[in-house]
Amino acid sequence: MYLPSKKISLYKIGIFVSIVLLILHLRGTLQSIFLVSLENTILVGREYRSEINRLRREKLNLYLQVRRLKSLKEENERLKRAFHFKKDKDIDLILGFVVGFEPSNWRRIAFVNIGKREKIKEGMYVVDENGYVVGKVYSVGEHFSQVEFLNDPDFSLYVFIGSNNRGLLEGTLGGKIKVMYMEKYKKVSVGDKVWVESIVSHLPLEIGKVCKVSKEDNSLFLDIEVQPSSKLFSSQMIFILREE
Amino acid sequence: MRESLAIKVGKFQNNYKLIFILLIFFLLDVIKPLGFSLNTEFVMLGIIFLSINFSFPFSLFTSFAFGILRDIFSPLFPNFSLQLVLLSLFIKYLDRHLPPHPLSDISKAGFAILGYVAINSLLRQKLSLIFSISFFLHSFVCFFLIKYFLERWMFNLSGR
Repeated sequence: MYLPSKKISLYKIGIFVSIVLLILHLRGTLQSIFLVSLENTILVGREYRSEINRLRREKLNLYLQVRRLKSLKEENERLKRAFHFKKDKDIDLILGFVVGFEPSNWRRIAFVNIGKREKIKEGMYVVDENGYVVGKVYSVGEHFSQVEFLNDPDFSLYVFIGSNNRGLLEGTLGGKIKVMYMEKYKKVSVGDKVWVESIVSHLPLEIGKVCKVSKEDNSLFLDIEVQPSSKLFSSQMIFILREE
Repeated sequence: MRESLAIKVGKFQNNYKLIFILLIFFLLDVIKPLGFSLNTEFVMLGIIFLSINFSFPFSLFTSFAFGILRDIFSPLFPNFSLQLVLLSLFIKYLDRHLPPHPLSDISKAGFAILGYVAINSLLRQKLSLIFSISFFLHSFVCFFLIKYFLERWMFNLSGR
């Protein structure tokens, strides 16, 4: 008896089973081939692919950076505990009123109606109602203090420019404010923020912005002029940032 | 006898008026109603006016007294006392050596202001040409006004 149809069917079943096994084995590869081809043809164009890859890289990079910062923060806290550092304090502002000025025009000093009784000390920062620095405490009496303005010819303060440049801010006789001893190779441009950090509360306080930068051939330093953010002498009300 | 008494009374009144005016000038210097936009010192101008128009001992004594008053408000203690006394002496020196002229008062004031700017620049060890010129011009203009009004008020009323 000749049964060719039965033999063929067994042969077909064998082929089918081997194909299924192959598919199951190469499932992952086939899946990725399918998805990549789908991504390439249907979902996004070629120009977005590089953008997506870049963003993925950035995401990973940022993720790693966050992890690094977290570990740095933990380390910082451990070190602070180890060195018995005080915790950052709250901002303590004391309101004062300008009652007069130094009679000489060669100095820009104001008298303020708060003094030692309010625990004011020399060198404390003085800010206006908008939080901009107007000067610092020059001398303290029992009931009165003298506040030296930013443009006083004898005023000097170590300040930050932008994110990482540092220089010495000084007043001039003509009323201008300048930053001295900034090396020529440093990148300072017009509009950069000039600021200072309070010692205890670590509060960044804005002084002004760079309004002029010039380089002189025979000088090692930049000539930087600063436009103060506060309107000096315009307000009778000032605040002294009390830090102990 | 009566006339001399009237002159004495007039001088006495003038001295008091001048001290009163100088006190107002001192207040103006401390309050600075125009801020630092008006670049002058009223007490200094008052001392110049006093030294030009009044006797030597009185001007010297008043200069010293107002110098001390200003020094109370200053971080550098004997600075103003010496400066104002020197200013008074300088004007008296010019009084002796400058020939009498209708404009001699103005020139004396000009020299005195220049001297004051020079002394202060030396003391501060800082020189700004723009500041010095502005101080000189503002002070000179203010001195004109002070001289005009004070002379009318003081000497006309006292019959001089």
